[in-house]
Amino acid sequence: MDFLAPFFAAIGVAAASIPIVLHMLRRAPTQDMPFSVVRFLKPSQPKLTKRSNIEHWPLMLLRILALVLIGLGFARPFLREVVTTESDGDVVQAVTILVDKSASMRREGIYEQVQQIVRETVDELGDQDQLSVVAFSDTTVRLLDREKWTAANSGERSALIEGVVDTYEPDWMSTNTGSAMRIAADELAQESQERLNISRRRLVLITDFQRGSDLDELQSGNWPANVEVELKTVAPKVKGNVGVSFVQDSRVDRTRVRISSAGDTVQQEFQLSPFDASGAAVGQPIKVTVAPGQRRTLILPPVDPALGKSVVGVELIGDEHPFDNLIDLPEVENPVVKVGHIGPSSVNDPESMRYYLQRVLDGNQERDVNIVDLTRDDGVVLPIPADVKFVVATDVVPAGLLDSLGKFFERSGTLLVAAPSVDTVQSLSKFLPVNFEVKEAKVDDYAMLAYIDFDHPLFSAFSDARFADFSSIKFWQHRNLVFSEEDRADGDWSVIAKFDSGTPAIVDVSVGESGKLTLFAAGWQPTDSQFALSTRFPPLLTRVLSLASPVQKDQLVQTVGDVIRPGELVSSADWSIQFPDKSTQTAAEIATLAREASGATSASSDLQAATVKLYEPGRYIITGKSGDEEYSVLMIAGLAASESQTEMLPVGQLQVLGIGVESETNELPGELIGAEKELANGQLSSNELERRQKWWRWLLLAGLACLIVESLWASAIERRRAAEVV
Amino acid sequence: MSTPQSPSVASTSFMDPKVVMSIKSLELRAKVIVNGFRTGLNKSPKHGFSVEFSEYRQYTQGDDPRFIDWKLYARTDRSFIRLFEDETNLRCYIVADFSNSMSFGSLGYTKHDYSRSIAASLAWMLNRQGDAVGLSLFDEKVRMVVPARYRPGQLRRIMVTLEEPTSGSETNPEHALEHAARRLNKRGFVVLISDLLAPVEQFEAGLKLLRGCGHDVIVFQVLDPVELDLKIDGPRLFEDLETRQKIYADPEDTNASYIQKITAHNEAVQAVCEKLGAAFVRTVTNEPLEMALSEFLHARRIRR
Repeated sequence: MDFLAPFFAAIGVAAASIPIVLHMLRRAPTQDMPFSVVRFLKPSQPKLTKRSNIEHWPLMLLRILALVLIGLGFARPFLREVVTTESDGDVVQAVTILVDKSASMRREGIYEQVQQIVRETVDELGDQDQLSVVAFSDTTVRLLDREKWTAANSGERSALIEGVVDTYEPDWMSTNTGSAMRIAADELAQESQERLNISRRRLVLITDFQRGSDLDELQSGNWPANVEVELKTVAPKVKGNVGVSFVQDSRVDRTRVRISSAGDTVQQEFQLSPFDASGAAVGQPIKVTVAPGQRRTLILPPVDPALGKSVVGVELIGDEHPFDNLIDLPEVENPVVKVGHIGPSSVNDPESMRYYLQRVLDGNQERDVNIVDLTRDDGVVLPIPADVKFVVATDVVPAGLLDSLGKFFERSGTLLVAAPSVDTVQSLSKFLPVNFEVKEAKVDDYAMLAYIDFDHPLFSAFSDARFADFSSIKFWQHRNLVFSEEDRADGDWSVIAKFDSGTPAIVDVSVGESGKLTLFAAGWQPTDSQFALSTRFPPLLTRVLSLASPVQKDQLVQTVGDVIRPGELVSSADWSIQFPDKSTQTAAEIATLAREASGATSASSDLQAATVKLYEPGRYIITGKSGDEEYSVLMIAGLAASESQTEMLPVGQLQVLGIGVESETNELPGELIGAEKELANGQLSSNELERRQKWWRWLLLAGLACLIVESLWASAIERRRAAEVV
Repeated sequence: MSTPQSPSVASTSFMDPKVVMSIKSLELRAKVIVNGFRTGLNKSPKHGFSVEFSEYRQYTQGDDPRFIDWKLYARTDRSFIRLFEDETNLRCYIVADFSNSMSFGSLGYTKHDYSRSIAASLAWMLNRQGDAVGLSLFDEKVRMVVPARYRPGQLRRIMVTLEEPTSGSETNPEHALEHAARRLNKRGFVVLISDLLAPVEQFEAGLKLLRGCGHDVIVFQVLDPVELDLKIDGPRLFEDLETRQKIYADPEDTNASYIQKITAHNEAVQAVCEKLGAAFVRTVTNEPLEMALSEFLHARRIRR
């Protein structure tokens, strides 16, 4: 019999001598006695009497036995010869090797350790043992099938394992250890029902066991009792890691990045180096200090426009593990947007429309807006600058500006006209349909907006019933816009909103190929209406601005591992996607690949609904074709932030989740030499034997039983003695 | 422990204290003791209860005009008020020790039980005679006081007060005696019931003050038989009832020195009483309670 903790056995044996000494010694019996005049008493020395003969032999033996049994129980004994070893032919074990291949496994030194551990684990297996190898990150991939292993002979098996080791390569995904373990364990447990000769099921988990791994799946449900988990952790040569990730900012013209440092990082000083599309550094690197275990978020400084470069990504310099040090960023195109204004430039007059325009655009949360007055008070007219995509006219448009406006419409510009008078509308007649009339409307008391097209992008934000009520806005006077129905059929104009009298209130007019003119039949200043004073006004005007002058290209930020539907992003079934490595696949190719992978034979599939999984970080360009037009969407995939949390979880984490784990840290694999290895293996098997046999339970139970019998016996003797005294 | 035997009571007409102590009601117990004691004595009618005229005093402002002697006023044209003798002819204060040392007892009842039986009997007897009786309980200081009165309910109050349990961490009769001296502004009778195991000096100082005020004093020292002879089998861990001090002692070793010390102490107490002219009665708890009444009346007779 061996002991896991022989120290306790020694204590138990030593304690066994205590009852013998106590039985030999007897202290003079004393009774407490309350007394009134203790001060007259002379203290005596307590007398101990030695006895050469021992009273109550059986009682003493019982006490010795109890102490010895309890001591032995704590020493955790086990019998070596009883347990059949793993190499016995009768015992067949099913082993699943679960290898982590998430992005954090890309760290230097881990790859070699994984290969070594896989080989070692396979070497320990017997001929009858069954093996399967599964790699996992956010999903699982089977690298070696159990059937294939069983069918192969020993020569083929080593080739199979070498194949597995060679094909193993970390990907860029996040780590869902919980899900992978659950799937593998369920599969192992299922086999116990199917194959009766399997007596042991082992799940060998090879992972860096990083803090960012997702173990949530293990929290629900019970772990199968017959599946043992053996955790073999791997660690990089250099500990610690710092990662950089993109953080969405409320303002689209700002770029925020977060630098997260793992708890075991030593380095604290880093540099952030922004780069442009060609990969060249833009500006000076930014110095960042991040303490271990901390994270820091910072806003990248705006790039000097004089350089003419835009930042498309940022690289973290100073970290040993480069896998999460480089991110792509959405390009900021128009950090400051310019809005042209035609009309009186009286900013401080609350009776003018310019006053309200200034206040709404100043309060824009997303970006800074500059209003450029195109007409001065002295009558000088400025041409519309080339970078202005949105112009607001609140008064008569001077004839000198009409040519510039024409070019503006050709540049896909949008003109918003709020007509305080009939003349304002008439001054733009060049851009309006021929059969168009305008006159002052007769308003009895006030007019209201009665019909609104909530499907139009301008009002779509108000389509919810809570915001759809525009009836509280009163119009004291407005203009009657009369369009011909023929033009309407041609698509030249469309009514977005109507007054309660049925006349158009807001009209969209197409100008030329791509120009757009939005016409309000009333001004928003207080003399015309309550529009500028209502809560609907700022969001409506902001909406017009964002439609007319989008701040940047359509850029979507995703995480690696996300599944997207490119067809729906570009609203087309004829699309293609360019991957970060510049390779391109069309929708048809992707659909074919998906069909082959799933084994489906039907040719009909909805190309618009076809899905693409983002396997690596970088820029994806999705191009949709509609007729002759092409429309592109830029998508940026970044590494999951959890992958940067690389400090190792305590092994006890799995035990907390109710999974008994036998851990073998593999931090110094090269330094373990033969004898030490055997010792380590011997210790492991001792633990295992002891855990299986559980002798300690019986020993403790027997010890407690002895104590109970001893107590009853001793009290009976005491009672008998008391009876004799009486 | 050997059980101390009660002295033979068969030869006397007194009751065995064990029997008397088995009566739970203190009032009834007192009645039994007193009646037992009186058996054979001539029942004397109430005497000394009179409203006898004592003296005249000049009327001063604040005196009750009811007591002005109008006839004298008519004769002398001066206002005098008539003073009368007190309603009772004896004012007696029973000062009883209620310290924790009194809770010792080896006979099935404690010294506390015994001493309050004495106090109750005395109170009952004096009350019946129409005397004013008061009570004061003390440990290291005076705990409870019932002023000396003769009026309905007085006996009941004394009985209820005597039901108090023992308390305190030491015994100091000096305070109690000093307090009694202050309360008795006329010459009176003070009965001290205690084990008097406290240092003699404290007791002596209090007694001196009381005697100095002219009061008659009778001291009952109540002791348990074991306290006198320490007849206990085998060693014991003795725990002081007041200080909680623990001493391991074997009576075989310590008996001789103990008896020597306690005898010297008791003699010193007695000597103090004799020196100061106070009646001293040592009562062991296995003696009949009536003996205490007898000693009291004897002392009272001498003092008259």
